[in-house]
Amino acid sequence: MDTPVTDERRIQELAEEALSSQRTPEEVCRDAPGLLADVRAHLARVAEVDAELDALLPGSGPEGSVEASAEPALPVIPGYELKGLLGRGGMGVVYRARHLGLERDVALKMLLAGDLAGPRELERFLLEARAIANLSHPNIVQVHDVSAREGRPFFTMELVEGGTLSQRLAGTPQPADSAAELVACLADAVEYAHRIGIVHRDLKPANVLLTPAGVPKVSDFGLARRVTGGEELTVTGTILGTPSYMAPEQIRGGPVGSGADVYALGAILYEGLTGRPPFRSESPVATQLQVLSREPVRPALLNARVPRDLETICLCCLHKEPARRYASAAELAADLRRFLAREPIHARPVGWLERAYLWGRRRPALATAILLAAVLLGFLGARVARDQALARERREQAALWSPRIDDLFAELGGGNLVQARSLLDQVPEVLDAELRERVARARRELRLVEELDGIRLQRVAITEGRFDRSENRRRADQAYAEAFRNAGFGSVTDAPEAVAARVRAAAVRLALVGALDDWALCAGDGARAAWLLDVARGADPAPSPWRERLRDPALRLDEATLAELADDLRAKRMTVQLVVGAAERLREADVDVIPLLTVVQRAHPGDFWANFALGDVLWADTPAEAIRYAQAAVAIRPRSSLAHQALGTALRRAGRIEDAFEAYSQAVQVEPDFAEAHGRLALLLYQAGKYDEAIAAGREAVRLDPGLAWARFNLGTTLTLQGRAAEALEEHRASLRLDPDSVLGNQGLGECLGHLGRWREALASFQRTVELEPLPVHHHNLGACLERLGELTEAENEYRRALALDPVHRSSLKALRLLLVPTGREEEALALFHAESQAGPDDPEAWNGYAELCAYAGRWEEYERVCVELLERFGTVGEPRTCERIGRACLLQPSGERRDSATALIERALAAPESVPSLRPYFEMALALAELRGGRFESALALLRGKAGAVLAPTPELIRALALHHTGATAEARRSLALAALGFDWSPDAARDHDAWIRHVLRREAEELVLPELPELLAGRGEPRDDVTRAALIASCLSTSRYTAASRLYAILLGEPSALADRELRLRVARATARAGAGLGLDPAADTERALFRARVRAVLRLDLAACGERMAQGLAGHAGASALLEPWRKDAAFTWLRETSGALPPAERDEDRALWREVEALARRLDVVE
Amino acid sequence: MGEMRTTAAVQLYLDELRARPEAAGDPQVIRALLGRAAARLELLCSVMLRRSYPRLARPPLNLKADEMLGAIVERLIKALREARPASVREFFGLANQHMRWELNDLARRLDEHTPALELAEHLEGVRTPGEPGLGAKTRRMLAALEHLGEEEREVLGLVRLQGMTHDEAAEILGVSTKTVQRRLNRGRVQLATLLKDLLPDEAAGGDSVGS
Repeated sequence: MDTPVTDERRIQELAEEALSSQRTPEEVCRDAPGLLADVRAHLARVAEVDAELDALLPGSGPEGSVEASAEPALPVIPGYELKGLLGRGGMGVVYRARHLGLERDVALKMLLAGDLAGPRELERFLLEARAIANLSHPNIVQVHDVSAREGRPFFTMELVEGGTLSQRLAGTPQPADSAAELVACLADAVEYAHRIGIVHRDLKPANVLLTPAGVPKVSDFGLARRVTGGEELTVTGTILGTPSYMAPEQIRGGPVGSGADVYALGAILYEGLTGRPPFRSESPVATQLQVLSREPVRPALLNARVPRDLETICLCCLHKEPARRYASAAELAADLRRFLAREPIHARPVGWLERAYLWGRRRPALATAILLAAVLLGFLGARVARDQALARERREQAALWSPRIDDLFAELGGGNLVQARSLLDQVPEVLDAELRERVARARRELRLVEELDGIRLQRVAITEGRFDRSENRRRADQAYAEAFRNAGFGSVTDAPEAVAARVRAAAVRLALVGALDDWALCAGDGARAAWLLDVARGADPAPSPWRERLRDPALRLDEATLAELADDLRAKRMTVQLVVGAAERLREADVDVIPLLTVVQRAHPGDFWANFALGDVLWADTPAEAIRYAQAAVAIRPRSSLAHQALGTALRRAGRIEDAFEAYSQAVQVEPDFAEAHGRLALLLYQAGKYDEAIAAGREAVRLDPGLAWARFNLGTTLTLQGRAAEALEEHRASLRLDPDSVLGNQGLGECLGHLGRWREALASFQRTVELEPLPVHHHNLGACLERLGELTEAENEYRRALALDPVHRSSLKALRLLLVPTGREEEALALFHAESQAGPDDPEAWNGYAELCAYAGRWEEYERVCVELLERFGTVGEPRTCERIGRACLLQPSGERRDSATALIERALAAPESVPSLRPYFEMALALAELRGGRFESALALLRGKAGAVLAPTPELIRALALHHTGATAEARRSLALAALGFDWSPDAARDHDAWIRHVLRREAEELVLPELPELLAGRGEPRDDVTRAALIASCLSTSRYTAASRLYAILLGEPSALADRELRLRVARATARAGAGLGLDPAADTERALFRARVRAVLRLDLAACGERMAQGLAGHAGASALLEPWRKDAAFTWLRETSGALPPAERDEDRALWREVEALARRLDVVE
Repeated sequence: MGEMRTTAAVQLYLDELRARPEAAGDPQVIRALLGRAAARLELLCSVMLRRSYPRLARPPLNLKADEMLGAIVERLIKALREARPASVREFFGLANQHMRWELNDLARRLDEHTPALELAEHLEGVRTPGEPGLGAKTRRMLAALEHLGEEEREVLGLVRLQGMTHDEAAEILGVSTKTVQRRLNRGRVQLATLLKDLLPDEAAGGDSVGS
């Protein structure tokens, strides 16, 4: 799109004007009609932006958009909440409304009541409209509900929000292919309706709605006739607006059939190609005259780019005589598709056009007079018809219905059940005796066929949570026997000839033979199957050899066989059920049945089973194709919930989530007890992040069918995610009972138990996942679980197993390193780093922490090497955080050659425009380190006085100690070191990430410089001279696992830990003391002192338990805090002895610990339950 | 968890204000504002977290959402505290800016995570990814917000980031509600222009075959 800049600005202004003034694009573009299309497109984008904003940044109240409707009062309709006016049309007013039960938005159309004078008329309208509501086609706006409110009929329908076709066309010719494609789609929809006996009669671009994705949908099907009472002409077009799309016979007031719709489709195609309808004049009457009297101008004269074939197709639709147009919308669609495929079309550009044209030119006066007379006669006829309508109706009813009932039987005989049902539903109650009798018979037979079909459908459904083909067949076998017996056809003990004779006599013979064929499949290969084959053969009007051939195991589906089969199918020499059933058997024998089913579908494109079965074999591998067949199946049987479900599955597979959602919703709407469809809806809702709704749908699925293992798993997972692990547990357990060998099921249960803190139980589930599917992720999960349980060796083994399968499994690498470093195995951790960085050398994440760990482990040679590589590889990266991290990592050595490049990286991070301000202090701290290394001590100290001094404590304090020392401020340096020493848990256990490693490295450096006497003190030689030295000594003791010494020093320095006000410090002291109390570390104390340490720890725990109780008393708000208080006690390795009440302790202490631990557990449970 | 931290941080802020009352306006007002901005940011972040990778928060996988949110909110509050805005309007200007940055940062981090496994359709183990590219989408939108005109950005920030009504926004800016709506509309139109090339075309949903 290359719109000039000035236009772009103007378009924006106009769009804004439309938004602010709530005027239509047409209105604001009155002075700039050339920009209308652009303004509309821009407004559409604004709507998309709004939707995206709503999703990302949801508003807080209902006032999301500006358009506060100026419409005064909206009508009140029970069950709906009307939300605003969508538009007004000739037929009524359309509102946006919310269906309160289903919680979905619909369009609600309130009709003008004018022409539906009395209650009887209204009733008839409703009856007819409900038949239309049964129309279900992807290109027809779905009508949901038809009803009346205070004598005014209304109906609700699918909300289609992409505008109308007339808005889209807006006078611009479309590319030939897209116009042809569009009209082919519309013709499909029209054909579908025609086959059910519904003619639209008012097709025009304004009646074609577009979805936001551009899918056209025909609206107002069949309503035009009723609402306007067949009086289109009498009011000179004011009701219907423009007659531009109206067929001549419609204007004349003659009988109107499907040909009128074909004409209208042609007119729409004409407008698509040329930008204007075939006839348009200043007044409706003048237009009508043109329609009657003139030939349309050839499209190619208006738009030279219109291909000749397409022009021929278009003009063929616009013939004045219906008989000369396409015989059906299907033929039109087929020709359009031939055009699109660049195949020869069937319509011929005949010479009549020129001849008529020449004739009219020779004798213009006569031609006009004849046509005018025709128009006037049409007018008169319509008036008389209206006056006599009621009387004539009564008289003509029998005459009218008799042929329609003939049609009904024809449809029954042809096996077209949907059409038969539709006709049957339209038959009025009052009929003469003979007709009544025929209708009753039709009704009976149709009901039987529908029942048989239901048995067939049930056969492919999931029952009691699983799909068991042979069990389903067994049930179907019984059901068929019962249905045939009940309908008076006899039972399996009767002679096959007698039963066959009864079947032959039925109008629905063909359908019955189909059912017999399916029954035979269910009956297997025994005597019963032989009997059924006999019956079917006897009942079949033309017994097909295929009945035997398809059962022959030696059958080869080569091309010749398929071609022969196709011919016989087309000639209706066998039933679709026979072949589809055979395909089912072949598929079980691993034969590729796609070619076979494709043949069936091609031969019977309008057959439900042909489409359904083909869609069913295609959905997994070629969902896009499966969608077409599933759509066809849905169109043929809008009331088949299975077909909707199959469509949904194919759509979902193809990634069309919203459409899939719609399809599943339809399935549920058609059959509210359809458990599986509820389950799928839950899945889609979950994926859309609508968890509460997903839980509700999942619950419904499980309620309807407790045996749906996957639905229970999904429900459990969703509940866990929502923090409702206790409820989730039940679902996961049930799911596993149903399907004990499911990997996901076991994993779900394990995770759920983990959520509840029940790691011991979770272990079995994680172990099972590994047995079932030894994938790295499962080993990792098992390892994580073991680690939680304190079984570190086992955990390590699992991580290693994960890594054996995938050497760069990042989460396992990380977890393993975290296990190795605290236990002093830095070398192994470094080896892992080495392997990871070699495997993905260009990913900064693979290097993250490598250099820091080298420094922590004192491996300075490797450190040098890593730093060189880091700067080489990432010295020019732009991402601020990476810059800072690498710069910092390369400054851990007091002197280094890389000082300048590292500093440059940190400066780059600080200068980067996209860096987040809240990260600035971190970057500044890194810069302080750089200044320290560069000898700019004052500058470093100045930086640390700012925000940089408050991050990653106590690192800034350590840098400060170093800088102060270098400036000669020894006393201050000592104080800083002491503060830092108290501000962190220096035990190897806590050295779990690169930040901690940096702290240790800097602490060691500071200790060496500031307190050179520390090693002597640590070795037990001499006494610390003051508190500052004591504090520093604590850090050294902790880092070398001298917990007893550390605990003693803590006590001297700080007194009883339970008296400390700072919770973090208190916990740090408790941790060291707990380790000393357990006799861990290099300097275990005597028993009595250990007991003293343990008592101190218990005092701290009691303090936290009390605080926890207080928080909980504050209600929900306090709960999170309460959990946080308990967390370290439940998880920290230092407190293991407290939790496990080890047998080594004296009995009195053991009881004390048990009592305390029970309290912890009880509180934790309460927290979990309330959460 | 996030809530505790938030409350604690607000308290800290108030303490500081009490110690130096000249630093900002009426503490009561600031308390309300701060709490509101923090709650709002937390909501927006959790919407994003939940939408993008529903399973991130599940054990024993990856990410602790609560902790992450806590840290984000803490940073916001800290930033606001340190900036000591002179007026409510300035306060929200800063809050808007920080929230955009934080959301952007969060979105970026989300994109770095591989989506965890998802719900099942059959228990045989079908895996489907979470909503793809959400992080990128968010960042795009935030970048577009950044490029709006001054007035439009301010209004959209108040309404969309802070979740205010038009009347509230009008009061803070000292203009009429109509003006707010006009700026909002202009902002929407500008956004549509900025995002024009970024919004997906109406191509069919894509027939990608899952694994």
